[in-house]
Amino acid sequence: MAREKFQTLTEQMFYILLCLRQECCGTDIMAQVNQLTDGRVSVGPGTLYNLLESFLKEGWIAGTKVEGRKRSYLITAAGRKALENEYRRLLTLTTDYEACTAKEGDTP
Amino acid sequence: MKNTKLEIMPLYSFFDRSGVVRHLEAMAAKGWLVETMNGFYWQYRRTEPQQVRFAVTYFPKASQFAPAPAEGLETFWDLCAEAGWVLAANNAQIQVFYNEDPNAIPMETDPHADFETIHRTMKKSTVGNYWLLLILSLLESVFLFWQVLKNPVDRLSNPIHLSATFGFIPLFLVSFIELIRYYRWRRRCRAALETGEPLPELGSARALSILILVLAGLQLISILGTSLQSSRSMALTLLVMLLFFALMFYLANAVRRWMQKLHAKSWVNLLVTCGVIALLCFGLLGGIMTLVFRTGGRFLDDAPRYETYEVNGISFREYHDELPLTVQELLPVDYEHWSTQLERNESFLLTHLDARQRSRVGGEDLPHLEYEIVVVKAPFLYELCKQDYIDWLERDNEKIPKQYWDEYRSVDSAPWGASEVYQRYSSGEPYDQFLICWPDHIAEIHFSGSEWLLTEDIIAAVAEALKNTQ
Repeated sequence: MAREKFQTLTEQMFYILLCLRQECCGTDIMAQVNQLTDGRVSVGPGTLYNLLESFLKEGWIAGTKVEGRKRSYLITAAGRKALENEYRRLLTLTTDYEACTAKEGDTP
Repeated sequence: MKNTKLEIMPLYSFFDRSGVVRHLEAMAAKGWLVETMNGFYWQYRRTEPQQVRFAVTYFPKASQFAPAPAEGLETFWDLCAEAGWVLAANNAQIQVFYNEDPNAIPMETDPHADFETIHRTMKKSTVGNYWLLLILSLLESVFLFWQVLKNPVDRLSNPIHLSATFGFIPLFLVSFIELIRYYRWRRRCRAALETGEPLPELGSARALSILILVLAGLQLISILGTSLQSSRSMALTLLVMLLFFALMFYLANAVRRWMQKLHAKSWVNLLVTCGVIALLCFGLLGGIMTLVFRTGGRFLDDAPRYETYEVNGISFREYHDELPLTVQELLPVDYEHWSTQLERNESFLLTHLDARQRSRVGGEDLPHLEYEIVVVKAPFLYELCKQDYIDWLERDNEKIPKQYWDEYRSVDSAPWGASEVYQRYSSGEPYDQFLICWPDHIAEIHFSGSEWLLTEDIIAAVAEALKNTQ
């Protein structure tokens, strides 16, 4: 990645990890991300496959079962930690934003 | 009406995604859907004209030598199919899909992941190949130019050697330019990712591809033309060799694919494929060597240029080529069995003639004549060619004491009507061998055999003949 690898997550990475808190296959992930974000975020099949491979390599997800050519995955403890770190980072951004705009008397 | 269509040597880089996609979409709109893609041709099948979207993507784990389909590739295809993307064609890491839904989710939706995939794909295959090509073509070019400096007259007067000398420069240029383009594109991508802009495209270097094809074509024509001038058999031999190389390429490719289907490991496939190429090359070399030894190289001549005679069971050749200067023109010698041999090479830089006139081995002791003439068409090569003859004579001097040296010493050039003349001195004694330099002609002549008496008339006749030979 151009940024330090996985130091921060892109939207697509975030939502894929979020979906994988439950065992899913690639097709389920594409549908779930779309549903979860009301169609705001879509994950293309090329992106999905490559991110799943990267997460597997990083140990953030693990393969759970293989049915023919269909593979299912589940998030690991390391993946949960990464997801939580990203959540906290986003929360910090939100808190900072709210603090700044409140001082100016703006409403977010 | 044909149901398939071929595009030979499409000038698109597989990493020029927008260029390839635009072309394939335009072809589909005309009713041609791509079904096979490789570096040599793209094949289409006839369909109803349709507006479809194409996407080019990469699968880094696949390769030309990895088992096919690569691990996970079918899962990837299934994922794509779920999103409506149908595989149209693929070639190792390159995967080309089409989708009939104009609103389908794009194949790549995260530029960071997209860049990482392209980078991994290129690093694994293209970049490594270009680096290898760059190093090999550089080494080969340096070696061939060193050969030119070491032996300029032979190398620069023979069009085949000349083509070989410059033949690796286009390859060097292609690999150098493509590597520069890749590293610049990578830098621009990283900058784009930092600022959240879309990834820049790595376009096709079409002009460069056309230039390389034209240069390769000219080189082939030059080699075939030169060999045809030499003899039809030589041209035929070259054509047979070209066909053999095409067959070798086809066979090696078939073996590679067969090994992929057998799920052989990449290194085993690479080893076996290279082994097949090496075996076929050795076979070709062995075949040519056998032919040369059995026929004494005669298979390259349309008609024998010589007759043979035997002395004490050993076979000798008697040539009957026409020479620019003969012994009979200089001396009143009555003899029937002269062997007159002339080898001529001509390029746009130099013309080189190598002439020998000898009497039969074991016969009368007669004067012999050996000379070379170089017509220098490119003046900047003049000194290089002159020095070639001086260096050749003096090549062993450093290994022996100075009193035994072979060297050219400057002598009076007036009798030869030349700008410079050098005479050979061996162990301090003069020999009847001269290097004569006219403004665009250089000649080296050796009056050998029985004693010559070099009178002013003979020198003038020799000079007249040699400096006017073209």
